[in-house]
Amino acid sequence: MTGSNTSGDAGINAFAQSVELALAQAYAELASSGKVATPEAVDATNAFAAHHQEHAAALGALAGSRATSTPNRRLATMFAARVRDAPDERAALRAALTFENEASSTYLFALGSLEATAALQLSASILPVESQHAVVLAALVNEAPRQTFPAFETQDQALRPDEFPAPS
Amino acid sequence: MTGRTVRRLPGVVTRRRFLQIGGTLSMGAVLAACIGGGSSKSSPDSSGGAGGRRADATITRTFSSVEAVAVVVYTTALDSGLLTNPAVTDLAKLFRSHHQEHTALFVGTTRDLGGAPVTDPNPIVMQQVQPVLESLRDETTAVNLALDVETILADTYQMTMGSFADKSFNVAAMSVGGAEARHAAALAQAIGVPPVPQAFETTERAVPAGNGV
Repeated sequence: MTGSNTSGDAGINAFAQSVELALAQAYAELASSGKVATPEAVDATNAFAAHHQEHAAALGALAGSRATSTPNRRLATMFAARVRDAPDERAALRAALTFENEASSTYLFALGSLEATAALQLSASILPVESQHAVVLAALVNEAPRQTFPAFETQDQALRPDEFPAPS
Repeated sequence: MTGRTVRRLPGVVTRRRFLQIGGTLSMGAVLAACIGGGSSKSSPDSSGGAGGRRADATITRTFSSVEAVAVVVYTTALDSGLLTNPAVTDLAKLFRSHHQEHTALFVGTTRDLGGAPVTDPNPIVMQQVQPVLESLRDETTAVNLALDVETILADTYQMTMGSFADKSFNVAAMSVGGAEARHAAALAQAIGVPPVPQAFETTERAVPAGNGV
């Protein structure tokens, strides 16, 4: 299996790609909502949106024929509702913080199922970046350090493909 | 055991605990941990047999040795009196406690895999760190060193993906690697360095398994 792309891996990579596309779309909605206005927050969210696009492209390359160009529909709806419901910048950034923690958790979940080394390494190169996005957003909303810095990342907040199926 | 209260002793961590880190894993992995770790009963498991356990122990020994470096760095920085910002001091204390927890986890896991646990700081990494430790002059140099060590740790965990004989270790290793990446981002922010410099974490600073142990 090492170095190859198994059919199971392709499905997981396609799912993760659809999550990344939904995240990029959520940040675009966040930007167009006008709720995030302070320069520091605007810079951070723009950078993170670009990262999610890069993640989606890399995952798509590994997903092969299962790759998608469509954001995960259920997730996009859920993310859009969170952005819409946020009354101010702080709440909007809190919503983004939740997305990032969920994304990080999702990659940890994926690592328990992926088999090919290339797929494992890609997910493991994205997970820490999502975690670091969360740290930046947590600082912007002044979240308590003990909430921001767990001793261990967990799968508790993972977005699961049975609940949020990838577009076919 | 049913009905008895089991108190977890501080510092006593097992391979089973390692497999449980990061959340729910497959029952097969947990079963393998129960049967394979510490039992003389021969049973098929996911650990790749004796050779696989030896190879995995080399990795976990490397992990604990690098975690021990981080404990030394934070302890030296905290004891030096150079950390003047209370928020930075609090982070240093919190992160040190995480590294102590990680060290205990890998020491316990190594033992359960039949390897010789490593509690000393990795000598190869210490060779790089020691001169900087001895010349710390202010909070910025201390935080910068901690950032370096956190980056080395995060890269080291990431580099092991695809190397474990027991694939369920992938989740446990990155549950720690992700935590180190968070530490690095916070330290970078504290000294005005970009906290998320790139879209993908690299393994450039990783300590290869077996180096220094």
